Amino acid sequence: MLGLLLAVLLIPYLVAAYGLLFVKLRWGLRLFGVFIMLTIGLLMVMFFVEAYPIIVRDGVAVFFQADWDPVRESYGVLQALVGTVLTSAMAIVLAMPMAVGAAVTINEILPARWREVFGSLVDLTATMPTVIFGLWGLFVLGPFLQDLVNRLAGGVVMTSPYTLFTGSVLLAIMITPYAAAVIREGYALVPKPVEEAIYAVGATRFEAVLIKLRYIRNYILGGFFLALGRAMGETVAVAMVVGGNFARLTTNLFDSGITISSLIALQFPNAAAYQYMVPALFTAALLLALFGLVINATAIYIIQRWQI
Amino acid sequence: MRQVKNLKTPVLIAVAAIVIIVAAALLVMQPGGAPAPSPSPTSPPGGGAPAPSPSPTSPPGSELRGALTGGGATFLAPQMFAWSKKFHDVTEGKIQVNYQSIGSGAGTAQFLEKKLDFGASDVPMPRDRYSQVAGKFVQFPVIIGSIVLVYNVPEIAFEKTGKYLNLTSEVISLIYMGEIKQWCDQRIKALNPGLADKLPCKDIVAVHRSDGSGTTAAFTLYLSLAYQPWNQTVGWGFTVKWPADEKAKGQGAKGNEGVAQAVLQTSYSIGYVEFAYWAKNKDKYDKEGGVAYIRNDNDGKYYFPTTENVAMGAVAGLQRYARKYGVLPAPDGDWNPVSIEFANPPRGYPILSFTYVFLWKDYSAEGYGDAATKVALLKQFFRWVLTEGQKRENVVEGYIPLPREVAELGLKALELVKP
Repeated sequence: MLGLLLAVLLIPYLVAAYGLLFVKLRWGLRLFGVFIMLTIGLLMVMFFVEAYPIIVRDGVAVFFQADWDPVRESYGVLQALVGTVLTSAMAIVLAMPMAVGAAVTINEILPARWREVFGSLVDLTATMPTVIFGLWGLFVLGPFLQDLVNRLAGGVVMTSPYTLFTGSVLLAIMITPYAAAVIREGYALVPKPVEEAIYAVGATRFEAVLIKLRYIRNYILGGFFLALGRAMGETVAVAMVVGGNFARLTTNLFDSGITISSLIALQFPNAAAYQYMVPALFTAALLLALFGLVINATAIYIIQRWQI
Repeated sequence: MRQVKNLKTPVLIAVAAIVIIVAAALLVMQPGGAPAPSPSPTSPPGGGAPAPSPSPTSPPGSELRGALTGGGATFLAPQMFAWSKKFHDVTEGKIQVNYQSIGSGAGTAQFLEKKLDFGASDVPMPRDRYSQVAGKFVQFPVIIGSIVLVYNVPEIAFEKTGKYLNLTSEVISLIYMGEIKQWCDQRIKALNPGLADKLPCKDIVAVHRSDGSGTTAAFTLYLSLAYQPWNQTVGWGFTVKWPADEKAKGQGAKGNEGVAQAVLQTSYSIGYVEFAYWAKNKDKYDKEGGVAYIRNDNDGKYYFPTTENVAMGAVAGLQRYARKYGVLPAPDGDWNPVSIEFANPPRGYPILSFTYVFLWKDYSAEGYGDAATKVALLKQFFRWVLTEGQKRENVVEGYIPLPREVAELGLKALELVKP
């Protein structure tokens, strides 16, 4: 197995590196591209091979049913997919304004000598271990959100501190620095002549910000998809606050649920004790990978259209 | 440009050399992978004889030094770390026991793949796996845990009323099945006449583990045995499908600490945690609710989760097994029937969880390197665990030491282990 990995990974890498450096840059890069595609393809094949037993047993039904009953060896991953989509969507909706706001604040409003400091601070948040966010969510954010939501709604909407909504808010906080970092970089790269031109036509500061944001929309989109990818894949912190309710489908954000990655994290340690649980978890992984591919393909498509 | 050309040949040679080295390494490694197990097939043909051949290398007991690696149940981890540290001190640093807290399922799997020297699990070797390795390994309990039901109902908090709730297996089952939905349900009131008028008509939030766990396995096994309808609708295992999730307000949390925290944070909730997680936070629970007395359905008495009551349950379970089968459990036998007799015992606190250790009977036949030393180390360590290790000062708070009768089983098992 180790030998196979070496053969698959190291040799193509060396060949591509050699081509890149000494034969023709373009070819080397292409080889690298092919090589990366191959790796991703192999990964998907591995997921499929591992998931094969349950796909043979249940057919595609395993993707489209919501169930998790190890006692009866009955599995479905739809609820986890729905949970992933809901939490990621909610998180990105909450995070993008924060990210843009943080980027603009750091580049426009803060005095120049503070920019570096705050910029690094935001970046630092991104490097914090996710389990710390998880603990904070468990002890502080969850109870706070429950209190807040129930007070605003004037009734008991959130029966528990740990719901899909808690997971979404925690995710939003966690992914904001990623999006902010990309947007900030883009914002700083707006050419001086463009900036001068904006002010020359008499734009206010607010209008200038809007024009500049439009100018760097590709960066915003890049940050958006980077953050979305993070939100979909985040595991530990979400597993701690999402409520871990994986036997039934829910579309209510204020209900406890599950996401694909947290399902895998929570159920994998004892999965070997069951016949079909490991394949079922790999099915979930396959689904997440396919979903990620779709999201990224959409991202590339949109970016290309915008550039024309 | 000229520089690049000059570099071209040396780099080409270097790359070619690396490729050749890697290829050579692969070629060497593949046969290298095979020889490792191959010595083991050579030793079994020798029958019982192979033991003497490796033994000259390992001197007897006192001079023994080395390291062991085991892994499995997360529940056992704090206790195992404490034992390992103490044993390290006792042996003056000669014997190091490493424990990987990877979960019961993974611990069992890796033990069977011979990646670990010993495995630990909250359930005995599952039946389907047992049939594959029957007679080749031993299993025995090393420590007891008990599972308590904690609740958060401010109206009847222990601090205000001075009383804890009484619960039975039936009521617990019905709560987790989503049939009993509110705290003021008649069936709860009937068990708690003293608190009946204070029980609020609020929805019960039934908190359970969201990760697969031995705690869930022990808890659901108890419910399966004590209340038939539970067995038919839910069953037992590391993870089950909780009907309360669909029919009432079910709520999952990660780990014992997650459930403990969720119950403290959520009003009108109930949850099951290992004894230790309640014992550490007793004051906090008393403020919000408390811990339940559980009725032992066999003798009809309510028991509070104390060390004595839990130990009483363990001994009674063992006696029941001995009466039923006429013998004490065999260390190399199937322990699933034993764990069933331990669950819901005739007397004492009824929700027990044992942590079992798996050892091979014949380490050299299983292909372990330096089997003689390994077995001597294992024997010395577990003999210490089952005797000195069960003394109060060596047991971490929240764990319950094995009663002497149960520890004897483990000592007998060790006699079967040979290099």
